[in-house]
Amino acid sequence: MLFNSLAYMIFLPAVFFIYWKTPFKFRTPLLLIASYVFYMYWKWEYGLLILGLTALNYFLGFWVERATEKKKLVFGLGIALNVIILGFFKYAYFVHDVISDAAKAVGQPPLPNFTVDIILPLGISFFVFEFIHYLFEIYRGAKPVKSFMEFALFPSFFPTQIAGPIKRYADFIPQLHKEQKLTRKDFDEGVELILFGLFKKVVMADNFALVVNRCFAHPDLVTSADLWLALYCFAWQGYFDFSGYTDIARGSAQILGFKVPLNFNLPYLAGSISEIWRRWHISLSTWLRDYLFIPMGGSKGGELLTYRNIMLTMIIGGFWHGAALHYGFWGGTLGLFMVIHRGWQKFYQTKPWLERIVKTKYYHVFAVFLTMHAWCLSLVFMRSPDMNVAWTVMKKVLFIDTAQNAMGWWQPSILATTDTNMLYPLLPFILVGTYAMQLVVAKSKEIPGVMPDFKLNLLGRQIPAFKPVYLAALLIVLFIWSPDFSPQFIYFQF
Amino acid sequence: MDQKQKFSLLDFLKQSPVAQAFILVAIINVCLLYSNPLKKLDPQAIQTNRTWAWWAVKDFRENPADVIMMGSSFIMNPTWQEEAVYRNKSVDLVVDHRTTYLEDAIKSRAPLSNPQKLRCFNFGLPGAMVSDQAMIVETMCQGAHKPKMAIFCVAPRDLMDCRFFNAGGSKHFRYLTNFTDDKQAKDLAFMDIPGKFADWFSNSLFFKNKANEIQTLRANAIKSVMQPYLASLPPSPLDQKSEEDRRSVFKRDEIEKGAWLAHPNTPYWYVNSSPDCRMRYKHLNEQVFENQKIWLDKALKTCKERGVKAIVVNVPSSPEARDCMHPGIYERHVEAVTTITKANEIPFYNLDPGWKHEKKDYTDWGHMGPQGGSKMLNSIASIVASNQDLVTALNSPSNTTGAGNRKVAEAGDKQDAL
Repeated sequence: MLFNSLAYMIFLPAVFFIYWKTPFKFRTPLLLIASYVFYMYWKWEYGLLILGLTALNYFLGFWVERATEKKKLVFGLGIALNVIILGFFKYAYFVHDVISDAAKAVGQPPLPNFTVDIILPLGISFFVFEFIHYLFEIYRGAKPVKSFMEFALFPSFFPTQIAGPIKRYADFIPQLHKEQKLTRKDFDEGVELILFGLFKKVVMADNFALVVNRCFAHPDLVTSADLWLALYCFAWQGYFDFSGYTDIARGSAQILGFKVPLNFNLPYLAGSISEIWRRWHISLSTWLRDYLFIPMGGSKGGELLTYRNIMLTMIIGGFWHGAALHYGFWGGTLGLFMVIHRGWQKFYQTKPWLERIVKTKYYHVFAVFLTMHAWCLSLVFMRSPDMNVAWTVMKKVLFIDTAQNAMGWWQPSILATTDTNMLYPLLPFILVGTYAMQLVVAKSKEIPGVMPDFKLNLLGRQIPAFKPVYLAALLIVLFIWSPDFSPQFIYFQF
Repeated sequence: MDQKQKFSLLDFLKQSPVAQAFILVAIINVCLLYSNPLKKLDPQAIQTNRTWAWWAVKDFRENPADVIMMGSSFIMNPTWQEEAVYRNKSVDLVVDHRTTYLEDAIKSRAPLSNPQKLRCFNFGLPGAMVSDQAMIVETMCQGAHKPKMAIFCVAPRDLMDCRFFNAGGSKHFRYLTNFTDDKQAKDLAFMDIPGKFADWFSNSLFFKNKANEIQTLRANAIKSVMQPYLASLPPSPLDQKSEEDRRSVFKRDEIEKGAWLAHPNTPYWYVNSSPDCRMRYKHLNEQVFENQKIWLDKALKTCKERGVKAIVVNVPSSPEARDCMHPGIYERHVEAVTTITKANEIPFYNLDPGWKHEKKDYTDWGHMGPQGGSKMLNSIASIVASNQDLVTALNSPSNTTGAGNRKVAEAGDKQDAL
C-alpha cells in the first residue's frame, strides 16, 4: 500500500479509530494484523517471507544469547543467514552478471542463463538490517525479546515497514509496554507531519521528477546547464521524496502513540560530505557506523586503515541502495570525498591561521556551496540507469564534452522545449524557495516537518491564526499542484 | 511531548490547528463550489490532458469527418498500420487519424455523389471500452462536427475486460467528460464503492476538480512573465527527439507527437501474449458487462436522436482469443449485441462467421497487423456499400467535409464554448 494512495487514506484512519477503541492488551496483535494486511496488500506471498525471517531471527536471538563457547560462531551464522537471504533476493542477478562479464573478459564462456523468477520483496533491505542490528545487540549482551508477537511487530510495524527509518529494538519494544493515551498534541503533530510529508512527496518531489526524468532520458541531447539543473532537482527530489516518506511514517506512528527515529536533519545546510551523510538517512548512516564501520576498526587503527574503512563502508552502503555498479560508484565517490575532507581537516588543523579562516561564517557558506555541488556530482552515479549514461552525464557536467547541439552549454533547453511541462518555468523559483524553507526551519530550531506554533499579534490581541492557515494552504496546494501521475517513492526500490 | 494534554472531543475543534485547518478548507471549498469563480476552459487548452483522446479530439475538431470508426486498439492498430502501407509513407497516429484506405475502399464499392470529399476518421483508442465509444458519440457527434456515419467496432473484451472496473476509470472517458454535463453518463460512470467514493471525493473538492485549470492558468501567467527570456533561447534539442526517445514518455500516459509512427515497410510477426488474453477473459465480469450493455444502448440511441447513421461491427476474434475465453463469453457477447442493436433498429454485422483466420493477419491474440487490417477494412467498406441507407446518408449534403467546412466547424466550436 502506498502512503500517497487513496487506499492508505482509508486504511490509516480505520486503524487509528480501531486502535484507540481497542483495550491496551489487544493493541499489539491489532497492529501486527494491520501491518501484515499493509504488507500483503501487494502480494500475499510477501507476508510469508517476512514471517519466516521473523521466526528465524526470533530463534537465532535466543540461540546467540544461550551459546557460551561458540557464541561468536552462532552469531556469525545468524548474520550470514540474513546476508545470504538479502543477497539472494537482491544481488543474485547482479553477481551472476558480474561473474559472466568477468569470464567473458578473460576469454572463458559466460555462466548459463539464470532463469529463477526472483521478486524483490519490498522493504527487505530495511527489515534485514533491523534483524542484523538485533543479533548484534544480543551478541553484545542485550536480552532477546521474549514475546514473539512483539518481536514480529518490530520489523513489520507498517509506518516504517517499507522504507524505514531503520528502528532499534531497544527504542521500539518498550513503547509496546507503555499504555499510551491519545493526546491532541500527538494527533496534531502527527497529522501535520503526514500532510507535510505528502506535500514534500506529491508537490515537490513528483514535480522535480518530471525534469530529472526528462534530462536523464536524453543526456546526449540536453546541455550542461540542463544537467546541472537536473542534478539540483534530483538532489531535492531525493530529499523531498525520502524525507517526505519519513515524515508520513513518523506522523502515522505518532497518531498511534509511537515515536520512530528522525531520519533527516537539513542535510543541504551541511558544510562537508561527512556532515551531509550524518544528516541524510540518519538511521542508515548510524546503522552503517555501528554495525559496519566500528566493527571493522573504525578510526582507531591509523589513518590508512580509517580511509580503508570509510571507503568500504560507503561502497557497501552504495550497494545497499541497489544491485548495480553505479550504486557502488556512488558510495565510492562519497567515500572518496569523505577521505579528502578528512585529509583537509588534518591539514588545516596544523595551520592555526587556516583554521581561523575555516571557522568563519564566510567559509561555512562557501563550504555549504562546495558540499552541495560535490553531492550533486556523486548523484550522477546514483540517478543514472547504468554506467554508460553516468559517463555521458559526467562528461557534460564537468564540461569535458562541450558538444551541446544547437544550444550553448549555459542555455537550459528544458525551459525552451515546446511540449514543455507547465511547471518547468517555475523551477528556478522553486529551487530558491526550497533553500529558503530550509533556512527558516533551521532558524526555528523546531522538529523538521512541524511548523512553530506562534501567534499573530493583531490590534494588541494574540490570535493563534498562523498554523491553521498554514495547514489549510498546505492542503490546498497539495490538491492543486500534484501531478496526475505520482511515481512510487524512490527508496521503495532499495 | 512532555506537556501532553488529554484528548477531548469537546474542545478538540477549539484547540486543534489541524481541525481548524480542515474546517477552513471546507469553508473555502463550499464557497468556491457555489461561486465557481473559474470560467470553464476549453479542455484542449489543458496540457496535462495530452492523452490519446486529447490528440484524437484535437484532430477531429480540426478535421471533421463523414465517417468515424470507433473501437479499441483492435481497430486503432490495424487501421493505422495499413494506412502507412497504403500511403507508402510513415503515419503518425498521434496527430493523423485519417483512414484513406477505408475512404478509397468505400468509394470503389459505393455509388457516391461526391466521392472525393469523403473523409473517414480512425477514432480507435487503446484500451477503449464501449463506454468510451459512447462518450465519443455523446461529445463529438454534434453541431458542426456531426459525422454522417458512426461505425462501432466491438470485440468481446470491449464489453467485459476483466482488467476493467468502471467506465469512469478510463482516461479517455475522463477526458471526454470535460465536454459534457450529461447526467446519465455521470450516473453510469462508476459502479463499485471505491470508484464511486473516488469520484465523489474528486468532485466535492474544488481544488482537486479544478486542479488542471488552475495549473494551466498559473503556468500561462508565469510563461508570459518569462516570455522575454524564453523567446531568446534557440529551439530546444528536446523537441527533436527520436521516436524511441518519445516512446519513453508513454510510461506517463502523456502522448507526444512522433511517439507512434507506423512505417510502410515494418515487418510484423505474431507474438504470443496468451497470458494477457487469459487475464482479460478469465471470468464473465457480469457487473462490467451489464454496465457496458447500457452504454451501447445509450450510444445507439444518441446516434438515432442526432441523425447519425450507426452500424455495429463485431471484430473477428482470433482462434487464440476464443481459446482463452471463459466458456460462454463469446456467445453472451454476440447475443447481447444482437439484442441491443435489434431493439434500436441498428444493423449489426458479425465478421466472425466466414472469416478466414490466418496467423499472419495478427500481431498477437487480438491485434491485427496491416494485412488483417486490410481484410477488415474491406469487409467494412463492403458492408457500407451494401446498405442503401448508409450510402444515402453518405450522399446527403455535407456539413463537415472539406477545408471550407472546417471553418464551419471552428465557428461551431466557438458557439460550443459560448
